[in-house]
Amino acid sequence: MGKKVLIVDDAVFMRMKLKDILEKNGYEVADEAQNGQEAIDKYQATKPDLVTMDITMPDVDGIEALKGIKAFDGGAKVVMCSAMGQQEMVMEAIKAGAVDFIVKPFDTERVIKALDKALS
Amino acid sequence: MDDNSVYRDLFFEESDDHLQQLNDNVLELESEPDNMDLVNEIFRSAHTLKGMAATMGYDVMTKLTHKMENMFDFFKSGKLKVNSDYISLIFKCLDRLSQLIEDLRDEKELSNQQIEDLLAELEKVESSVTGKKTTAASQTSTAQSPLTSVQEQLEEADLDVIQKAAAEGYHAYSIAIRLDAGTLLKGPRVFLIMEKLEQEGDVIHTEPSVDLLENGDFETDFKLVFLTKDNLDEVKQNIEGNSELAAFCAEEFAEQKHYGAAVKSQLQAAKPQPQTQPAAKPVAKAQPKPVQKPRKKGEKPAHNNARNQSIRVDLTRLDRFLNLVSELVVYRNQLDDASKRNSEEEVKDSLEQVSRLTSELQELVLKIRMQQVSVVFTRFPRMVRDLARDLGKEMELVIEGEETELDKTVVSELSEPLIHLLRNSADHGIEQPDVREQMGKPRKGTIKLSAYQEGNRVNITLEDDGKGLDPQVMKESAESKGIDTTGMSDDELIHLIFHPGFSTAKKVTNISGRGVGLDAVMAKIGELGGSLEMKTELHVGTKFIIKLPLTLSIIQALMVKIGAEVFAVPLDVVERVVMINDEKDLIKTSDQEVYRFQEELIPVIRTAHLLQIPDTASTKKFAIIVKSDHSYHAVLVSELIGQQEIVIKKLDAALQKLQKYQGATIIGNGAVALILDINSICQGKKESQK
Repeated sequence: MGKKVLIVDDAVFMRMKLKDILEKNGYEVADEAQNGQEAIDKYQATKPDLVTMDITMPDVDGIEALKGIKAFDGGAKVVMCSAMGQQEMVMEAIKAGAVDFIVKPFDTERVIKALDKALS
Repeated sequence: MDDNSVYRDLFFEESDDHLQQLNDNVLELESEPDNMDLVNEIFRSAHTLKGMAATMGYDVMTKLTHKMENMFDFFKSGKLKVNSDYISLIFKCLDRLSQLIEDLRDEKELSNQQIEDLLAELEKVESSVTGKKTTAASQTSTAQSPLTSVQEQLEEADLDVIQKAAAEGYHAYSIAIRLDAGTLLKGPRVFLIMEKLEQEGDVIHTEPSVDLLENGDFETDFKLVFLTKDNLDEVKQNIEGNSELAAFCAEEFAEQKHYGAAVKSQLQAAKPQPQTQPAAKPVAKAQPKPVQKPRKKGEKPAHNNARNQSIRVDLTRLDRFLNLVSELVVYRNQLDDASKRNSEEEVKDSLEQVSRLTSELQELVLKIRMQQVSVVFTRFPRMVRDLARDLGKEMELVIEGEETELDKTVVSELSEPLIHLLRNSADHGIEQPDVREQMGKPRKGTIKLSAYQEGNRVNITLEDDGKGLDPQVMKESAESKGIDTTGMSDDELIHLIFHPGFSTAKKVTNISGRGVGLDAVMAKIGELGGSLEMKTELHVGTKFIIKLPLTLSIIQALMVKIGAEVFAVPLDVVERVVMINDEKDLIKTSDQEVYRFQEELIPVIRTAHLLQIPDTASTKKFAIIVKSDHSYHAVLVSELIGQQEIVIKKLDAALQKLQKYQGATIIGNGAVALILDINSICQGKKESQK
């Protein structure tokens, strides 16, 4: 069984895309969440090995969700998904304990490398 | 290679949603420029859109959304004040985006030229804020020199720190790191590397400076001096834990190396590095672009028609659908069972259930095809806003009953005629604010668009409180265009507005009056099986009433026989059916046959003759009085069969050209009956008389 990943993104499209990348590369998608609150809830429910977390989401954004997950599980591995132009948000996320970040548009190879590293 | 085409449909659907949301929110923003929640929401939508476009590899679209997003960012940070010029610019961008999306749907290749003008405008705004010219972020990686950890700008103070630390058991390491050529967000990347190192020690010096690094203002290489108690292997491991590294080297810090001539240290490649060519292509280019690829000749497009129509269905409806189908399966099994036992009684019982279920299913499927008219209506507030601005008028669009549902096919065809009518109202109906004031009307004109269901039809009305139509003006205008108006009543004069090629506009504006008149609207509504009426009162306003069938695919029809053939006549055009005697009731005038109906002589259409079917000898006939386009016709048929609900099947394109049939349907005995297109037949009759 591959490592379990929780995908968090408000766009179905992005979730599908990421899911596809992950599943083709031997990861298992534990669950998907479409906002920060759902992410925190589903993290606790599924205890994934890794979380991919979109930064901009309605209501509870990715950084708050990251903090929420970290509060529940200090060892949680969260990889942020960011787009260009979000330097500050990414840095904030790193300060809050994100293990890495991947940049949209997703490049399969980069994504997998980042996740492999994050889990090693 | 992953194939993005699988996601195309989803991409288009979500893009449409985001664009609509952006349109709505931006419109709202104009009236509430200080609403930060709104700005945030807009920013998020734009951002998501950009991410999606980028992932699909649609570079042109990404570029435009990116620039647009920058603007929202300025709104967010307060660097830019929302004003209507900016809003208009944003609207232009949104329009262009939907155009781009349309092009993508049609599998057209996008070019940068499509957005150049907007990019220039956006950049102008941007540079007015940032004060500097924004240049396209060119990431052309220069010819790469070998990586060396030699520090070139070390200061005396740094050396001091290193020495002191050494005394306390710290090691100093000289580290050089090269990021992947296509690394995005270099600033945070460096920040992350530093964060990881600083968990184990201190970074005391970097080249270039930390500020530049964290802003991403460097090519791919940077150097640092790191103090830690870890040994060299541990340090290397720490660095290796980062992604997006092309190479790095780390070695014990040796003071003498950092002065004068550099002794080059070996280049150590980061371990998992499948791609070794130094000049890796930028990421965006490495993305597969399945759609933008030029298609090979003779190769079929990957997507039929590029427009897989999809519809969103309420889940509860689908659940009910499933329930009904499973019930149907139960009764099918019962039937099977009963027929084996030859129990007629049981077969009948089950059949009753089956027929109940099929009609429920039929109803449900129709409901699933239904779509709220809001799908079309939501675009209009924005349109009216633009119209008002362009025309220098004040007006407001009031929408009612947008939750009214219609068949999807009708809904999607509705926007064009409605836009036409709206433009017409805005341009010709609503007066200039000053004129309105003089007339004692509020400066702001109101256009009311409402939809409501009435029996088996849906009515859509568009009402303005503008100047209405003046029969006298219509008359003059018509005469100047060479239309004969002698003996026309006021009502007839007003309805000249539907005359092909008629336009009351004094000059051609780009808003309405593009040469196609309301006759085009009328035709379109007719195609949809609907009708268009107009009521107008001088200086009070004009009201258009569109009546549409709830659904196109199943209609009530009158089944008739012409000669020996069975035909269907859509019931909604039928006014009355009368039995006539060929010789007595039909009056022959000089050039045509007429029938006296309600004190009016109406033209007679001999269908048998028209459709070239051998007629029955009997002189006893039925005249179906139909109303089409405000006038009555008597359509003669040989026999009446009765009223029936029929399913319309589309005709082959070649047969459609006949313009006498709306479609075909399958009748009880399995035979095919053609459905008469009464509107075209009457139209044909009128034209043949001219």
